[in-house]
Amino acid sequence: MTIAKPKIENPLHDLIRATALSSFCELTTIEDAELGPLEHPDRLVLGFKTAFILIHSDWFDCVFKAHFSIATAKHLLMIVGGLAEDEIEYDDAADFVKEYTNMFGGHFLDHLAKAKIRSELSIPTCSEGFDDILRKKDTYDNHFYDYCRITFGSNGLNISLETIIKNEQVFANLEESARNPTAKRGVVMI
Amino acid sequence: MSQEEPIGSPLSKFVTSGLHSAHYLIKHLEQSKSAMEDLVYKMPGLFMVIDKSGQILKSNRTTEDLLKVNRGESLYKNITDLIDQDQWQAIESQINSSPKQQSQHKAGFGETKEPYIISIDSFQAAEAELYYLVGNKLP
Repeated sequence: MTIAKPKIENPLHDLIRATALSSFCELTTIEDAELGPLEHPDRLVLGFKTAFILIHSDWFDCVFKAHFSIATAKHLLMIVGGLAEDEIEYDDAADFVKEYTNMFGGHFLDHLAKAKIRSELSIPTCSEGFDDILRKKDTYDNHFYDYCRITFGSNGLNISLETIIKNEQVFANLEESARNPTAKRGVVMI
Repeated sequence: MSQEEPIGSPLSKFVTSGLHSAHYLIKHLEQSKSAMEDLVYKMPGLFMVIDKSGQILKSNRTTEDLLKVNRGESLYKNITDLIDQDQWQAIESQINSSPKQQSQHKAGFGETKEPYIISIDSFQAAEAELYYLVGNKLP
């Protein structure tokens, strides 16, 4: 994969990464999961399946994607649900990672609300990872891509972010929120 | 829209209503795309998309059966896991020749070297030139 731009050093991506990891640990009960770089950053397809969710705000838009294999999703569901591998259906495994992106979205919106950033969440959706290579990446100055991997044992989920910054006030609000964590909420949840 | 717009205001209701419509559309598109993916997956004969080094980026059930892997696990396996290295080198030299054009080849696939006639053509994806490969088993 050609990474169009380096990871932007801003509180938004840092918050997304931290929320991605904490949501993963909470949902899966895996406590020693770690966030690191992609194992194969040059690959065009980051996973057989991709679960994704859109976070929209007046100040930015973000597509959060979790790329995974069915084997990884089944492995997670075996840990969480205590099921045997042959008891887990293909669609249930994919739905579990969709649920992860949904949980991430909920937690992320909560952080944004504390920073007085009004935001909305789409429903989680699943597609094939192959689709990404058919889509040309935008190279506008306000368009950023970021990649990381949540590893647990010898397994992992690849995460990609696509962020469009429409108003850099979002950074100031997040920094202010970090200094004053008791800020007022203002979020639309549906 | 103001960032301070209170929850429950008429504007919020409008936004929420719009999102419900968007959610319906997303769900609809997801279902139809999933059905299309199933159709491609279950199509008879061989189907795969490979990169110039022969790495498999997409494939159908016949390909995965020959590789003896579960759905999706052919990703980043190499076509040389299916056909002999020298057969792939012959195909590779032809598909890398200029001008690019569709080519046909005979090759033995899988452990038992089942004979297939395959057609290969290139297409330009967003960031790389890739190849379609479709094949039919020879009687």
